[in-house]
Amino acid sequence: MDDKELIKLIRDKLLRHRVAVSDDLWSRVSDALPSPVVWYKRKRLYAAVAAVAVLIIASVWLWDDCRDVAEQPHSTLLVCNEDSICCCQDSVIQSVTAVASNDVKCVPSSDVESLAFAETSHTSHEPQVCKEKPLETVDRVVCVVKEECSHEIVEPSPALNIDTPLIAYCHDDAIYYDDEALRSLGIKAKEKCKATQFFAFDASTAGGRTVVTPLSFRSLDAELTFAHKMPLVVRALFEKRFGRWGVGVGLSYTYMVADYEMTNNMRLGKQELHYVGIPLYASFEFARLGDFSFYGALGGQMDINTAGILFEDPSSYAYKCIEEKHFRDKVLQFSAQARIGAAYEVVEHIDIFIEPVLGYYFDTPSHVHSLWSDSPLTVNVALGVRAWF
Amino acid sequence: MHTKDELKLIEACKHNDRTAQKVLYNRFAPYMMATALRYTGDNDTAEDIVQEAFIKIFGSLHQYAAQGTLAGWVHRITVNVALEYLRSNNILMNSIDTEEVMQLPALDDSVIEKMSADELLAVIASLPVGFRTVFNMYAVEGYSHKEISQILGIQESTSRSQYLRAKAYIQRKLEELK
Repeated sequence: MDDKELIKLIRDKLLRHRVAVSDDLWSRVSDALPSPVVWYKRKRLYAAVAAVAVLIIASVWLWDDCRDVAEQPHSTLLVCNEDSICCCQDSVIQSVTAVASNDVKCVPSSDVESLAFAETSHTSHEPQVCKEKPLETVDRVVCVVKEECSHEIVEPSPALNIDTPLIAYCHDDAIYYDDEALRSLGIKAKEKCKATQFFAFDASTAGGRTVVTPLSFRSLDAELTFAHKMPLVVRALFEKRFGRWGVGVGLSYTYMVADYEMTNNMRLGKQELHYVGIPLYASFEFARLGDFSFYGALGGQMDINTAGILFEDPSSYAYKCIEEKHFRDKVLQFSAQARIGAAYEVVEHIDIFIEPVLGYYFDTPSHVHSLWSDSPLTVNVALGVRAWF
Repeated sequence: MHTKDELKLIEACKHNDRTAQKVLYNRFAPYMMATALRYTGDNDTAEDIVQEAFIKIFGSLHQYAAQGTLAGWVHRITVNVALEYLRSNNILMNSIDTEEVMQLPALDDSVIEKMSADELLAVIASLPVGFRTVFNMYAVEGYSHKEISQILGIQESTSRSQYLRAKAYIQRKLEELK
């Protein structure tokens, strides 16, 4: 047997030979593997840091609120029925009180009727039950407001006179307004909070907003306030990855709640909105640190309103006419979204992740007040679980 | 030529994906262990070499150009780690200088053919380290004596003589096994 044949024989036997390793060898290998941050490219690290910095700076810069609007003096608003009978409710009086604040006199009182023409009176801690009065008496009405209104008593304001136009009235279980813009409560803000007013009152909750909308009637002004609560969003995403790149599509459900209130308590209640959305995005994983991975994503989303409900509060004036109103906004809501996320592999193939999400919701012709229409720029934090295979 | 799955596996390992690394480990560890055992002759040292080789493999996967097979690349790293171990511990030079020359008849191929791979591996593992190293490099890995001399820092003639002595040693072992 020559050397070549011997070598071939030995190679055939040995090169594909396998020998079992001890059970703990993998753990030794795994423990010995370095787990430093593997930044794929330093430039990308800088880009990620810059993105986070921009996000933080933008958030701080946008941390303004709508107080400029909210602190505007209340305006007069009377609510009358079609027979020109104005309801002298506490709510109306509160409004009157605010408008006529320059003429406010603190007068004790316990009797609305006796106070009607009073210049001064005594202090009362008893909330007064206001009565309906003919419109022609309104200019002389002096009612005591509720305790929480500091027991103020007002005299008729010059703005209050019998020529006050009809603002709203009830008819056949429907409420009618005299202004086209108030056809429904879902009127769009005339001067809604701009991007600079992003974090209205609750930046930390990243979702709730209080937005005051000034409304103009024929000759009166009022305000409509929507206090949006943090929305609930549930998403299911499917992402196809190509190395560090990925594209994804999914389905999301958004539930929004807002408390609304119109000056003088004419409207008061809760609005619920339900949306189904279709997100589409591209992602890029820019770093790994052991079981942690860091990534960013850019994309858009289309949201479809599936249902909306207005629950009128029994204490509001409109409750007489509308207790509950169902509607559906047919206008599609489009948005652009940017996410930066960190994921941690809890067990094999299962990650938990946290994603700060910066979103911009484009203007639409919809009349429905949503968090997105009132505050187009949003920052949310998403928590979730993902399985990969 | 790499399969799609293999390319995915490599890519995931580059991302320090432990699951993918475990898959790659399970696939190659037994082969690497056999290779390491041929060079070191004992299990504990062989496992140390496999461990070190995996650290090098995972640490340098981004340099892997996907030219040639992944198995071949992994095998070369394992051999290099084993040789580095022998060099760094001066095991190789000491043994090459001191081992005596043995003159024995040519190997009987029929005996080798009948042997299992484990038996043959055991015979090779029993060789003195200098013989074993040169024999492995020349007969199994396919290095030339010139390459061996450069890698191990020995004379080419020394490599040849070590190989011949290794063959003779194996022959003697096989005679004992008969």
